[in-house]
Amino acid sequence: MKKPQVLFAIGEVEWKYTYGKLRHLVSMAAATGQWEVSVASHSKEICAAFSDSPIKSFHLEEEVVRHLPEHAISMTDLMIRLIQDIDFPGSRLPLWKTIAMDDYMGCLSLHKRPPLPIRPDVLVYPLIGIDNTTADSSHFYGGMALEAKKAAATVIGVEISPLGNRQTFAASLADYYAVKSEFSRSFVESQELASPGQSFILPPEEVYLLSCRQDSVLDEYFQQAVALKAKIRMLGGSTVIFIPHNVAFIYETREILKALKLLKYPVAVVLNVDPNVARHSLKEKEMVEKVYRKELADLPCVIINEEPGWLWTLLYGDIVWGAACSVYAEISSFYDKLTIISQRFGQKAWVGEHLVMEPEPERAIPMIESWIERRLLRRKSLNGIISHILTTSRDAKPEAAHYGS
Amino acid sequence: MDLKGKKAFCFIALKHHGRFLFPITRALAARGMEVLYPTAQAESPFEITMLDEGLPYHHTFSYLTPEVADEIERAYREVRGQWKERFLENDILHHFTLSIQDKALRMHLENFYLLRRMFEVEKPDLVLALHELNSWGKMLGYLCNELRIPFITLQEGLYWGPTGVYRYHTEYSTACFAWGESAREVLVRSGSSADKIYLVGNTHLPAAIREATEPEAMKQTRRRLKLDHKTRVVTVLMGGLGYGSDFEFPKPLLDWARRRKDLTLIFKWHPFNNKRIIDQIGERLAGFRNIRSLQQDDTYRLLAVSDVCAVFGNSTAGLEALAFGKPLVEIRVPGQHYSFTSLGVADQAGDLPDLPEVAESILQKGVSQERREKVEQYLVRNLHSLGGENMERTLDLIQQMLETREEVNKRAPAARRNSSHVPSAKKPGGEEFLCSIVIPFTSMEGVAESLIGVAQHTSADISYECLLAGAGDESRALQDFVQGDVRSIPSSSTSIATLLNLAAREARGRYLCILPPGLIPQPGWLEALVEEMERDPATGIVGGKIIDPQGMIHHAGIAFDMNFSPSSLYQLLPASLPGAAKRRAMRAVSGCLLACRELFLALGGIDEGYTAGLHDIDFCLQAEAAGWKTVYTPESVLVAPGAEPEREESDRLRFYVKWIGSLWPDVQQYWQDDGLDHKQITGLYEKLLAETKVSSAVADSISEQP
Repeated sequence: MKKPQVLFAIGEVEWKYTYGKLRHLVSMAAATGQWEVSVASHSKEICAAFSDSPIKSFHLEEEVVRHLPEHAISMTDLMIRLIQDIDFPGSRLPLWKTIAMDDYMGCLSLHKRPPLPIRPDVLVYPLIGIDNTTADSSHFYGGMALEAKKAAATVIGVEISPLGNRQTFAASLADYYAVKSEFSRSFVESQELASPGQSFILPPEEVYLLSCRQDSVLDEYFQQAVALKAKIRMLGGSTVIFIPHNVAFIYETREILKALKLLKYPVAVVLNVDPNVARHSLKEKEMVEKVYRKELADLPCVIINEEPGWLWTLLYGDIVWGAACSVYAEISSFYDKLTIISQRFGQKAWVGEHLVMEPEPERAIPMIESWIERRLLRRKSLNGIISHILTTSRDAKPEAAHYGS
Repeated sequence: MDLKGKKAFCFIALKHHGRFLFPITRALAARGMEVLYPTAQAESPFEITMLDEGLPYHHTFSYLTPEVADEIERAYREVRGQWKERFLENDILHHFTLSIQDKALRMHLENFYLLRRMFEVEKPDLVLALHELNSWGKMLGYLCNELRIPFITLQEGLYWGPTGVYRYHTEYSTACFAWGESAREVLVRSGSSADKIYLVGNTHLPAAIREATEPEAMKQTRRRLKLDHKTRVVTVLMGGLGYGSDFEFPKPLLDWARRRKDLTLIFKWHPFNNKRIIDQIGERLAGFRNIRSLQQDDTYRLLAVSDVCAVFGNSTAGLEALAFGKPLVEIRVPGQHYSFTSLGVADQAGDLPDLPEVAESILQKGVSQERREKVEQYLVRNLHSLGGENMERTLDLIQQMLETREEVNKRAPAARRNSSHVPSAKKPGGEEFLCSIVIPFTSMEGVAESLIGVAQHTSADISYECLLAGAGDESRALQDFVQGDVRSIPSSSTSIATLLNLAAREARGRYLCILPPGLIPQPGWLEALVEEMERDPATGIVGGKIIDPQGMIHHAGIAFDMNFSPSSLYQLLPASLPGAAKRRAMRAVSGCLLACRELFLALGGIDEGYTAGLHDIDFCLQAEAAGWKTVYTPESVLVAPGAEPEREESDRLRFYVKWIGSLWPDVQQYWQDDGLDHKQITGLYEKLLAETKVSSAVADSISEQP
């Protein structure tokens, strides 16, 4: 069966704002192997960024057509005919009277673009905000929205320029919304841009890809993400609990593993060990397998990870739960992970928005469940959104969001 | 004129708007009027202009209330959905940058509802804006109509030719003050309303010329520009925008400057050009002691000290230079139709390198007498007047508007109260005649013809009397000439409205038939009017078809065009046009009309504020406001001897102030009802035009023969 076509439209402005990080989103979609993923752009540079990958790119160069004043008047005339029945609500003032001259005729820029060589099923493009100020990008995205409509493709708008402005027309062109925060999601809904089943909050790592932030750890993570994922093979749909293991805290770790059984949501556990640590002639990994045999057997999915690059693996986790204060704990909370330290006789405190010290693991369970409900279940990766759309009839009422990658 | 207690809004968007509007607002303020300067959101912020001018402006955002915010939000969602639908329908909206659309849509909606709120709170008596072509102009104009406030617009600059751009200048304006006949012609030929244009001249230029050419001012300017008394000055007004930093002055121009040490070349750049680039260009001229590159200087001061001025193409500065009495060189801009050179008021330079030769010739030989005469004629046509009376005339018109508005506001409730009494007016009440035919006249022209037409073509079945209302002696002479029930109502009044009211009071018929002199009744004319009147008890006024001697439509009912201006439907098209043969209810009829006498009197008769025209249409609108129907019947036919005279200025002013908010375009609805679209109508008029051209060509060829 022919794979569905997923087209990413990327304009120069968003490429610039995100330092080209958008390419990782494209690569991650392609890595699923479920869809034919391609990229369209009006910028040669963006297309060239995909030349070393199997992802097809289409350079759709926008050509500005020179026009005479007579053409501008004729075009304005057509525009007036197109919108002649739209009035300012509650008045008899036609909208075209206020928009035809300075706005339309004054800013008229005739653009010609080659036709899209494919017929996409899903179009992913950045939501156009007020800071998308280049005419080329703006024309490109508008054109892509029109192409999608012609092809009856579903449009997923991803939030790069933050939502929240009063101006939402350009953003309204999408069918589904992949946004960065709970605020953005409620904004999309309160502005009636989408119904609750059509807007999703992206996981923090993907949010990073849509920002103009630069973080070398995350950048490295995305370099490794696809390969790592293949190696680790976590269960889809589960909450990933990352446990940074330390041989000096066996008791506490066992208590944590026991407590995990109490969670009402499915979890996959990544127990991170150091390949260079050994005790009693056992490597840390072997020691872990021996010491926690029973607890590990009671959990549906456990990966004992001794791959180098621990920070990248940590980034796969949704929640970090350790027995000791460590650099893991410190950094994970910066990456929007719920981080819990459960140390016997240890501190009990809220350290920061995402960092909690709770000596009794069982007492941390309601907190974790609430976190899953309030945060994780409301998030969906871009791949998850694409998958959701392709498996749901476009006309059917979209299902409630569920977390998964 | 005391304007205490009155309030005006003056909307200033860009700096040059103030140039034309401030003389008016200053004068209004001096007469006690409170002037408020409203401003709104814009991509190119208006606040900058207001701050530059030191104006205490009122921003629309200050008028935001939770209710208005809700209204805006609801409206935005509705419009956003509609706009999205059209955006995804085809690519027409795609040639207008999406991010600009995004901002514009929201901004216009916010501005509209906030301006409406501002109007409700501040209650202005008058609104001024430079023009109504942009979003703010249309919003202000619309709101003025909605809230019945006179809206005055002005001319922005030189109007160089009929195009679609000039079509929308008088839509919502109550009055558009133009500089001169030339602009009026351009506006009217583009589709603006002749009724709403008033020639006042330029409100700014005469004073600017006076100030800049005062000896002391000239001395100051020369000193500042380091010009000694012998130095001759050529000023080049650099047209257009978007000069790049790579702009180079042509070598012949620089060589000329090097050669002519007694000459100073001034390059004046438009203030909208990028200052950094203009400074860079200027720096490259640093080696030339006799070249000045200026951007922020007052153009008028420069024109005053110039010996020759050069402009690029159809720049308004060209007209201003001529008004300063300076010889003009026009540097050709390809593709422009308007040309100072073609009009005979400038010498042409093909491009900037050709300027030295052309300017040199003027400096040496001066300007011919023929050129001077042409310039004089040009200025009269373009600037109406260069004397100080421009402002007096402007203020006089404004005063008339305010007075009319006050009068109408006072009278409106009374008219409505009367309306409840009029339905009984059509009941027979023992009148002596069925009809009283009133012929009002201020001269005898056409009176006899009309009377003869009445005598010849009025059925004996209808009992009628004729009332000749006008200069006594002449009507008495006529009375001797015509037999039957003809009475003279002598009056020395020159107001048609007064004469009609006088006659109506004396009339003894159930119906009054107003018959303007010169209209010649055709067989069955009055029967058809009476029959139509008696067909429906709600009908209060009936008008008939009027054709010209060539069989073309002169009147087939009154329709209101896109400027809300009344004119006959299908005027000048063949009388056989099916649309003209339809009896129908219309908002107004004109020319000959039949009305119930009691209704006429109940409505207070014809408004005597009108002197020559528009009183009949006004009367129909009054009747409509009182709940009466006006009907056009093609069964009643009259012949008009010639074209309608132009409407008097005072009548136009009164009509549009009085009916602000009650007029709306309906002409397209009639076309649609008659199965015609705009294209077909245009085709009919184009055919007519082609035939007229043929006939005038034939006439020309005959007249050229010996």
